[in-house]
Amino acid sequence: MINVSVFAGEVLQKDFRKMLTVSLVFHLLIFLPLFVVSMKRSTIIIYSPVYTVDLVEAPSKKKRAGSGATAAKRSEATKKKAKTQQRKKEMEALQKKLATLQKRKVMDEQRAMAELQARVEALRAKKSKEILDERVKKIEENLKEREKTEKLIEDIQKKIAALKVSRDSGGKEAPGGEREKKAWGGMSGRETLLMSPEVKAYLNALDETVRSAWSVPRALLDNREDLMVQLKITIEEDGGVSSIIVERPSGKRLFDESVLRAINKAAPLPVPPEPLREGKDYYDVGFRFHYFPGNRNEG
Amino acid sequence: MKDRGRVRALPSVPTVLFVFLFTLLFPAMSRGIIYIDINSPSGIRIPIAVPELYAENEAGQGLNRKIAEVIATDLKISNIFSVVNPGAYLERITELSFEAAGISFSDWKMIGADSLVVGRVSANDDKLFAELRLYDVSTGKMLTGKRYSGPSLRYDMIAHKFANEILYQYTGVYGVFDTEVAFAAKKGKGKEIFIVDLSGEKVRQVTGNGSINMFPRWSPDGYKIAYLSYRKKNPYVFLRNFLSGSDRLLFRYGGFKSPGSFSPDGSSLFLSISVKGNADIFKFFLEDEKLTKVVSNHSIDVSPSVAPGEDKIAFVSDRTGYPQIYVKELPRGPERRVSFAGYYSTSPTWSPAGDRIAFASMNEGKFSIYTVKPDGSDLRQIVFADGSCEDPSFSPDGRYIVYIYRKSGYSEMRIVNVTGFGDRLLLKGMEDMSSPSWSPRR
Repeated sequence: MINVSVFAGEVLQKDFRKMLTVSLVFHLLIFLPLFVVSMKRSTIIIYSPVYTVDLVEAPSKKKRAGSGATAAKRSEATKKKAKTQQRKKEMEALQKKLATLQKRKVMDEQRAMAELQARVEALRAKKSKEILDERVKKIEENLKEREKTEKLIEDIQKKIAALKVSRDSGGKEAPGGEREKKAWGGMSGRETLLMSPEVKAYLNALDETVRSAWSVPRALLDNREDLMVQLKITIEEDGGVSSIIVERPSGKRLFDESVLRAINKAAPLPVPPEPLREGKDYYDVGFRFHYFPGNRNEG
Repeated sequence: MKDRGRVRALPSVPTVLFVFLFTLLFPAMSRGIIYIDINSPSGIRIPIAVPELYAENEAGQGLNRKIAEVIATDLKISNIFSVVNPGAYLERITELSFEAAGISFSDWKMIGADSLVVGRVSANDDKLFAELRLYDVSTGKMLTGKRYSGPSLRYDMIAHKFANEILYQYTGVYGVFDTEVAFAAKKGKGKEIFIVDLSGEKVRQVTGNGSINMFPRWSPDGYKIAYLSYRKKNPYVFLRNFLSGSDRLLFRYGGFKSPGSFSPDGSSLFLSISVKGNADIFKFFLEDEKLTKVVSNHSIDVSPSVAPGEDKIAFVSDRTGYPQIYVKELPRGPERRVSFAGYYSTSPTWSPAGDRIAFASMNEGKFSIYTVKPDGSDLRQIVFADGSCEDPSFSPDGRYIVYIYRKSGYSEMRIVNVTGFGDRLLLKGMEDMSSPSWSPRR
């Protein structure tokens, strides 16, 4: 009996190990590609700086009719303007409300003090316990109202602060904002890093430097194609660019070349701050250059 | 023993598990790379600096400025470059600019130039020698350098040639700055043939017979023009040869006719001829003066334009009641309508690459320029104007289209990129301009 069971156990153990190994290899084969894909995805964080719309020159000649696109652009601009104005108005109204509330608070305080003194004097005069109780109750009510006003003021101040932040960061309609959030999903550490003013200022400076060096010969590009080049560069401690890797070419050589020219022209780039370098003497950053065909009559 | 050895050969279960878990955890530990989105370029043309050349001797003075000016004008015309305002240049080109590290590129970078043209010129006995170089400002690399010599009077040809080189460096296709446009315009009581260069400043008159001359068409070598003239009372086709100076009557058969286009080898001319009120399309062999029918039926078929491979021909036919563009496979293939833009389409012309056909089509009472693939797909309107835009003709590099803009008696010649970008004036001030034809490269 024992012998048999030991034998059976040995066989089982062997088979189990085999099966386990086979199963592990099988699972690894399935999960490894998934892992690679997930890693690739997770390493991309998109930073969309404040979006600016370049002002379009007026059509070169009066006799040339502007196309619908200009009108659309214009209406978009007016919409944007209207939005900003609306926000401005909103803020003004809130500030007004705040001022009146603050005034009321001061007046309330003064009135309360005056009342208090009057009551005290009355109390002294009457020295009646009943009256005293009544006064105390009234004072308590006054105090409660004051607290309410204070809370309201606090709320409004918070609102104003929030509005200011949204205005400073270019408003809610900045495209890419949503994408940004999606890409940051589950990366709270990175998000806080990106939100640090030093890093934000650096990324904005990088954007500004590269963009101002970037010229695309639009005459050579098809008016109907959206183009995008994605590349990764290494910025040294002194701002020099030591490597450029085109990760995703646009398929248009002329467009890709314009982007490479821009990087070369923009160098040396702003020096990466310590929080981004994380102790190293270089910093890797990516760029995605987009081209959206514009108005035909432009230029 | 045997068993144990075999088990050891396989990785132990905990190790495998550990590696497995580690790989699963790894992505969370890896560092993310920030990608910055850049949505709008600061420029839509490549900024280039073209300072005055260095004059190596007295005779080179003046030419040094003129050559730089012609190059700058060419580059501006291209719509691909913008020339940085010379007032902003921080340094001049001197003898030292041609020595190693003689150019301070940071100065040129500071004024926003992507590239820089550096040159020197000398002249003696009406002969000029010029050396021109193109630099990439950010890397300091010389992209191209050329030495030219030629008659001092033709300094502009040297400038055009180098401008063509610059375009080649940046786009892979040579420029067309040394080409010209032939056209017909009213002069006195008649209509004459003229030629204008791409700056729009030099206009030459080709015919001067006081009669009506129309439809100039370049031969593929760029030295001959076929045109229609009434100088012998009836409409005949003539051939003007600029090399020999001859101007001979080519063809007198039939009534009204219009030269369409030369065959790619230049040996024959496709044209429409009206015989007894019905216009058909013919091919005329210049050598033996033979005539063959290419398109023939009871409707009116005019304005032939042959494809660069001579395998297809585009023409206008009114077989459906209104003139529209048709493409026929040569020699005896099917004929298919390709224009579905407006109710009246005319003046088809093939792009040099053969991939598109440009034509004019009427919509809401005015013509506009369109391009379409030879199979009738991918129709695109190229210009949007409040007047009529007619008679398109492609540049030999296929990047531009020259056309006539008309509005209530006024006319001017304009150039637009085939993408529809950068519409600009080429020539105005002449009356009733028509049928421009862009010369080939020479």
